[in-house]
Amino acid sequence: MKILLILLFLVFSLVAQPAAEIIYRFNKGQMNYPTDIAVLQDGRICVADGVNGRVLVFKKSGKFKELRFPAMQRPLGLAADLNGGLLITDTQADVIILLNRKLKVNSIIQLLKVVDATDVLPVSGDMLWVVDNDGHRILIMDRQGNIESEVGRKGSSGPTFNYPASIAQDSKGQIFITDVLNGRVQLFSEYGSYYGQVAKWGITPGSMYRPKGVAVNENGAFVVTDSFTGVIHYYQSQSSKGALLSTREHELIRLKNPLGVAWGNDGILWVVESGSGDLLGVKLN
Amino acid sequence: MLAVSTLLFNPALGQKIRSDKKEKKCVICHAQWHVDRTQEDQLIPDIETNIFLDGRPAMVSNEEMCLSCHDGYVLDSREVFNSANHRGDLDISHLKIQGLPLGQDGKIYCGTCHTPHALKPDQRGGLAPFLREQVTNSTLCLDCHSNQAGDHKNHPIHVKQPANHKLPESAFFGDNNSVECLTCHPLHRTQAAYGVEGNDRSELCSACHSDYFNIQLSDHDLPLVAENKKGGLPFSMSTNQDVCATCHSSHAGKGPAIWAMDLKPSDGGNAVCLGCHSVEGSGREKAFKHAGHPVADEQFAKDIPVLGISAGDRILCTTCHNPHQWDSTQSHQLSSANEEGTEFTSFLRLPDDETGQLCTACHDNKRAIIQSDHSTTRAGFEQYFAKSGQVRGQCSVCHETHAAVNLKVENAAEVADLSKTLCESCHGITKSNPSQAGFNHPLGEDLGIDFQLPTNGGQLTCITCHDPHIWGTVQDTSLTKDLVASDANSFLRIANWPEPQLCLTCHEDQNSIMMTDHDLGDDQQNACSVCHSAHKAQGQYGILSVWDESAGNTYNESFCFSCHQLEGRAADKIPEAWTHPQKYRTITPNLRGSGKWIDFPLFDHDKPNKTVGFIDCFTCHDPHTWSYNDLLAKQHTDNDEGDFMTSFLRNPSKQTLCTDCHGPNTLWKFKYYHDPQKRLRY
Repeated sequence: MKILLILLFLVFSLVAQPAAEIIYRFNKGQMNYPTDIAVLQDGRICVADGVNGRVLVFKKSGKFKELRFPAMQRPLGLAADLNGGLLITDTQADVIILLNRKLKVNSIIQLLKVVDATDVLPVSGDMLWVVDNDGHRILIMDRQGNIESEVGRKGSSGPTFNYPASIAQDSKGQIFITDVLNGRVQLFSEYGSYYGQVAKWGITPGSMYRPKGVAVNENGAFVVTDSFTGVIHYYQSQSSKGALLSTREHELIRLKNPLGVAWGNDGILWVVESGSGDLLGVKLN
Repeated sequence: MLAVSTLLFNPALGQKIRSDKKEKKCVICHAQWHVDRTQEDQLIPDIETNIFLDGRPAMVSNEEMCLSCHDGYVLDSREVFNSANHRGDLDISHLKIQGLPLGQDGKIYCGTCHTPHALKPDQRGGLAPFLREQVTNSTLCLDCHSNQAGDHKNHPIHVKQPANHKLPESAFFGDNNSVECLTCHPLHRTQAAYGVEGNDRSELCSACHSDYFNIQLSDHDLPLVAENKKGGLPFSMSTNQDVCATCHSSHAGKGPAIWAMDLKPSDGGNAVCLGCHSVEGSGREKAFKHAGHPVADEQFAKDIPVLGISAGDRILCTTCHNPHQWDSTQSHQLSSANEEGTEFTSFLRLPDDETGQLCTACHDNKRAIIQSDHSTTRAGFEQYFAKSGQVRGQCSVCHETHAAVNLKVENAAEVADLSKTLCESCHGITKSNPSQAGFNHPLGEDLGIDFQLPTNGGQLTCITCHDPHIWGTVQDTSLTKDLVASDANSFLRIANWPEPQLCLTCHEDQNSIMMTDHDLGDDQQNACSVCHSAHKAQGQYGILSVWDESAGNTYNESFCFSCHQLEGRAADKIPEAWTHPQKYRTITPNLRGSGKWIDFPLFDHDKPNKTVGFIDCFTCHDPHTWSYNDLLAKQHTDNDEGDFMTSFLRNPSKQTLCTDCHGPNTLWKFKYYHDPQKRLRY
């Protein structure tokens, strides 16, 4: 049995360390400390340029248009909605703005001042998981803003948080939440059950110092950005040992304060490099 | 199953955190202290030597560490990092920064001013927001900007905020609502400071100094003047310089006015003004002539609140002028076209309007003019203004402030008697204004006495007797217009009723008339003006008043008989005989060398004659003196009968010239002069 377990461990921990290449770098200098990113169903890439009070919508050509709404002051978190629209969290205006497929305002959820919504995730049942950063918890609410339950509290072990930041969901419904000052990714079921954590706080590979953005692709592979070390952690699956994105020449890819991250429909990994204000497209082989 | 597999195969799960809580508390920011820092594959960038304190490496976190939390995912300081102010690329090579950490290349960064180790803002003595030193008294700012700490070079700090400032609610004020560095320099905003557009900080300045902002569009709005003025200004101005910064430098200015331009020390307190208003300055059209109203040398003896003056302050240009406000009433349109000022404009602090606000603020003893016949509001002045085109100020109609002569007289340098000329500009003898036609008290004579009345170089002039600002010193001091003049008012400088003090100031020897039977003053007139008229007299000699026709063949007789007649006041003192043969003309004492003319004045028919004349009433009588002997001076007006020692006679008969003709009979001729029978006998 022990041998079987060891074999299984070796199989699952054999990571195909992907060679990565930055193939797009958009909008240098036009965004100021952008934060989050979302890829819409039609492939357009949305970036929260909160300092400038706008959301930019990019095509892969690099052309973009900007979204501004009266209710929006300083957008921070973005998420592609299940209906093809876009969800925007705004920590200055304390709102979540729900846009339809045409990126027109569908509805606005006014949050309490104490809620510091850094990210949002649409889940089945028309519910939203809202990351309450300052509250160290996840609020589960309907699209009218009625809170049905909450997950987590401040802490460093178990289903607790020390400044949760971003949230993502895989195709199986499992939810990934970056836990910034605990240096980890917390895993939950869509019903709030705690599955455990990925990585630990630290400064060596396999650990995280300032995990911020998280994105899961349809195959279950997920990436986590570390804004201080500048690396992108890559996990083939939640059970695999993590790797760091590097070039073909095995040179570690280091970005300047990477934050939001999202998978494109074509497999391109889109990353917001907040320190430079750039939107990067990374191709993984 | 999923949970189980996760627990089984995730190497991270269940693993004990290597660094304990205590360590993590520090290492959460001080990554260089992590126990794995020495591992070859550790991921922390080289941060050990990129922060320096006083030139030596310091264990202080760098900007990237700050951003790793303040990017919105622990605290949202995105706008701060994006702020235009105090970015790390500032050139600080001119500053002496000690005791504060600096980033790479010696540049400032978050940790220069902030530290998480400061007390929390809500703790007693806490420094918000996590500052290394207080900003509520600008201490932290001055740590670096020590060259801007001294007063008189910079805009003052630690001063109380203006009550009606227009700064936004977010504006920073220090202890006790004081103005501090951060009041004008709000750090970490996308906008450098409230109201600042490029180089134009005038809106910021006007938020507190709203009164000063009235300078806009005036001739002191130098950026605008530079555009409007033909040929521009005679000095260069940096482009886009705002109306405030043209003259004032918030830092490194000169003098209390934080002046941006050079000041000439010899100009003293007026240096700010004279820098431009000199013959070679940019305001040369209005160059100060160092003449006229005194400035700089004199001090105020009392507070004058309406002008913001305290006792001991010196008179300066700015005492009367407010360089920030062309028109104190704000009712005149501005053009910045160097238009000529008026008594309402001219950057005056108060207008010289119908109440003479500006001048009377100090010269309050002249305030009585406002309701007198000399007030510019009276109808007669309207015509005068219309004709002359002069300004209508209560004071400036007569006075010139910035000329060598303070009276508004044309070609003043060529005029012998300025005040007389000025008075005559209204009271002159013209067809339309014949009021002063006739004979007047003589002017221009050398008084030869020392007294405290104003003169024209020692000579008598209008203002010797008249103070045009005060209608009356005894009666009607502040009453209004078209009053009937009397000795109690008439703009006389000294009270001339009931005692003729003004007249007696010069004519002291005529004081002897008082309390005699010739002291005929009443409720309108004093003892002098019963017989004399300073203006519109009957003749020049004695400026005797005009009386109704009376008996008498000579000038003296007609005047004396106006009283000494049956219907007159002195009906019981009518001489029965009086004439002296006029064919015998006599040489006057002064020509004979026997005395002064006045000892025995001789006359022609209508005037005195200083050489040869005939004897008339005043030859023997001096109506001002009851007796030439002081011991016999009259002490009451009881109509006593006189004798040869009194009776208003001038001299003892023995000293007279009568003996030349009358020899031994002189005594009898003198004694019975007015006796029709006996005068013939001798």
